[in-house]
Amino acid sequence: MSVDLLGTDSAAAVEVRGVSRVFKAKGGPVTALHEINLRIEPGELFGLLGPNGAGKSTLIKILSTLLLPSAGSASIFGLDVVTETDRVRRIMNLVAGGDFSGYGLLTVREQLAMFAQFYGMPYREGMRRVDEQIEAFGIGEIKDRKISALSTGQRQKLNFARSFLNEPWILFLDEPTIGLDVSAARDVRDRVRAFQAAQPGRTVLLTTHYMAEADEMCDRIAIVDHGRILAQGTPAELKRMVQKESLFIVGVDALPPTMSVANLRAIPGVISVAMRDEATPDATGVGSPTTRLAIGLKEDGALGGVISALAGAGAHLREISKSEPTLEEVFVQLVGRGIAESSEEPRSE
Amino acid sequence: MSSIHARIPADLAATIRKETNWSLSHRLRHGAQSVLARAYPRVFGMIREPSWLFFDLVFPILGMCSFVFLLRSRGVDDAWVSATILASALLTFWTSVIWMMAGQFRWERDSGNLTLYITAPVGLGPITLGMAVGGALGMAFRAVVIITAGTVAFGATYEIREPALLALTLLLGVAAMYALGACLAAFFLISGREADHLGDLLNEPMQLLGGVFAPIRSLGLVGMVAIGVLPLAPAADALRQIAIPQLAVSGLLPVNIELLILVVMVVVFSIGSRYALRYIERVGRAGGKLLTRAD
Amino acid sequence: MQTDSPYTRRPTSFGPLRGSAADAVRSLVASARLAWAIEGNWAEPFYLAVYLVIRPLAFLGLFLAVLSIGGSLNPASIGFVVVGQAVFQIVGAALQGPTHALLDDRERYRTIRYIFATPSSLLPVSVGRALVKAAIAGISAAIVIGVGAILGMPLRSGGIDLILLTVVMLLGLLSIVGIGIALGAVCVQLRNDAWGYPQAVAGSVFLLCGAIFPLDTLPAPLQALGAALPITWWIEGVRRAILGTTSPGLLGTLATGELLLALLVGTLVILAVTPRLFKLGIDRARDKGYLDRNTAS
Repeated sequence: MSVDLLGTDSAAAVEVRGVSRVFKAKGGPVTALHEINLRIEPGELFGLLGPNGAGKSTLIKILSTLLLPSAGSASIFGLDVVTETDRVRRIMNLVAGGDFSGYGLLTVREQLAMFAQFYGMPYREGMRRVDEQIEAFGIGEIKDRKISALSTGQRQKLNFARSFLNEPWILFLDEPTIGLDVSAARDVRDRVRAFQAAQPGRTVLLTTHYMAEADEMCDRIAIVDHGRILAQGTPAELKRMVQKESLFIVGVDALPPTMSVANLRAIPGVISVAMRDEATPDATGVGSPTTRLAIGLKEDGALGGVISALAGAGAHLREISKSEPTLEEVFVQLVGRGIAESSEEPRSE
Repeated sequence: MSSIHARIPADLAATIRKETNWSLSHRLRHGAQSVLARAYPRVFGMIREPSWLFFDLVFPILGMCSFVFLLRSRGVDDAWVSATILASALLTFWTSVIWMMAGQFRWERDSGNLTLYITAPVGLGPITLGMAVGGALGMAFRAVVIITAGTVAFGATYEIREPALLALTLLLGVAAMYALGACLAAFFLISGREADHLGDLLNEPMQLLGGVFAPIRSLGLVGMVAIGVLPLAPAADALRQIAIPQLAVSGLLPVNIELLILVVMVVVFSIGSRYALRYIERVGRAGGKLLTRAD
Repeated sequence: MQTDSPYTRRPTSFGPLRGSAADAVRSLVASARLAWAIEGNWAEPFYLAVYLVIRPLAFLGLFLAVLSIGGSLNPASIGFVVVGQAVFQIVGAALQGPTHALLDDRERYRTIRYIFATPSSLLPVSVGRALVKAAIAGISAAIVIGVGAILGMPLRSGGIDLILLTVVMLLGLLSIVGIGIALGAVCVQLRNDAWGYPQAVAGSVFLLCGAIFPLDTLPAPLQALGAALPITWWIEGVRRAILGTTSPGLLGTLATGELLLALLVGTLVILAVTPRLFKLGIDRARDKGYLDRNTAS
């Protein structure tokens, strides 16, 4: 399922029109992307979600001017990635996960200073930004350490520091948290958000196969598989594709005698009610009886009526929680398999 | 996102388009600073890694000694010993051209640096020029050490009547070699595993064809062709004639002709490398060869 | 405890050999077959052409071109240089082969830790790789000799002395493989730039072993050093077998019998020392954790 965004008037940060990419491989041509249409607005943090070999990285490589599309066109803030490549490179940057680039004999500061020059900054301004990013990413202690002596997490922080040097209008993050521990990954996500917040209009395109990361970070997500966009929207919109109603789990000691499942179903906004009796262990480990109600509502606001009704009937509420489908469930619904069942990444010629 | 979105200027795309329109002076300054930036790791890398210095000196000196002892065993005039030492020093630049120019982009691709260069607004031209400048500076030091060691060990003598001419010949020879290296870098980048072996093919066979240790005159027609296409040939031949006048008769062509050949080579290879690098980038982007090993 | 499980039962024979001898030979053969596949690159004609034909002949061409400077290009000098250059193809391959194999296994293929964890010793594995590299270089050597014959290199009247040739080649090969393996055990303790040290050793040996010029050309101390190398007498022995002449100067001072004795003694000393050196080097590398590291920068 794809969303046709062609014909919109306002300038997009990223606009992809009918882009396809075919690779020559030993066993025959491999279509990595199939007539992709996509529009990302300025200021968005847009996620491309899909398994290995879906085509996410291929699309990023086309947009970041590393690859040419086999068909179609793409532009970054109105600049064509094929015919205005030089200008696109002046406003973009790229971070790839598992990236071990760099000259081992240079120090962290020297490596960043070199790239500051490559991005055309006057020397003093470049060094100011280098020191700024070193501090922002907390790598001041290792700024004089050689690249070859850095750990994976430190290298990735260095990569991010490099990518922020030219204050890009569009930042491509290709599986940026691969190989990072939980704390380092969280730091990276915080920095990306801060980067966007500092300047309205800065746009980020993130590819990942970590559902939780996409769910947490992205304003909108496109789910990609076998070179096609299957669906796109906000995380909430995508989850609604799987579960149209809002589902709440309400735990009470026991359903009062004056309240029945039918009564609950009659409350305005309630679509469905299911009940199950359980034993919930208390602090001493002894199980005490609990009635769990799974209540489907048209909208979240209808929960108030349900709680009022239960409380009014004398029910003692133990817990209330919202049950949402995960993006993995969305993916399985769309694709028919889990994200871990990956196919071979299309190999280039 | 909605609050940030509300603050986005309506004419953002127009502002960005204007921002990306760099003036000529900006582009020239950017090019120059990129060249220096890329030369930096080459120069300082060579200083920081003592083992590189060791190998860059030991191998040429061992090779030099082999040829000198071979000459001495045959009772050849010591002028040829001086010529051999000079040739060994010149060869350090050629070796650097093969391994640190021609083969460099493949290493950059495999290590991930090439991706960063491509996506930066720098272009492969300034990167290549930076590699050449850094490489030449580093090798110049090594060449001086080799000549000094050889001269002291074997008592070589030179009669340099025109030092400026010698310097110009050396400069043009080095420039032509590195310009050729830039062309080769483009070719090596998209070659398959054959490129790994091309480096070896360019070593000893080119030393023979280049008339490095023996005058190119002895190669006859092959020598005539080589002096027109291989920078090593006119550079070695001219340097020998200038630094050791008694060997001038062994030269294939007069020095001024050989200098002219070098000038043409510098121009042709420089222009060629510019187009080659652009072509390779286009081909590489079309085929994905900039990102993966071209096995 | 079950002792007849297929997982614990180890094959103990290899042909007529039993026990540890069988294990060693089995490892050697397996390693040699691997080396043949990796080093031979028989499916890549361009690679073969460059390493087996073009480069060795280019080296030869360089030396002959230098000889022509002094008007010394005569059949005798051509023969001297051709044989020396040909044999040195094998010397260089055997000197560098074990080091490159160990470093390749550690840095590129990352398999050395797994080989080390098997019951096999790394010694027969290294020997197998070195022998095959030397054998492949032998093909190159034969090509160089062939070209030399075309260029007018004089052959021994009555044909090549095959018995002498076989004996000197066998002894020479054993000695150079021994040196190469000891060198490998030293280099595996160094960083990735250890690739260069065997080449530096080969270059030094080239100067000292009378490959392309008589030993007398060298300063006296270096002459003594060269005379102490078994490789020097190996090359001279091959010259006598193929050319039928004795080289001038120091190289001609030993009669053929004395030459063989010198080569034999040198080889035996090397073979006696090498396994111990190899074990010391590998054990030290293991203790320091060098077998398991990737030092590529």
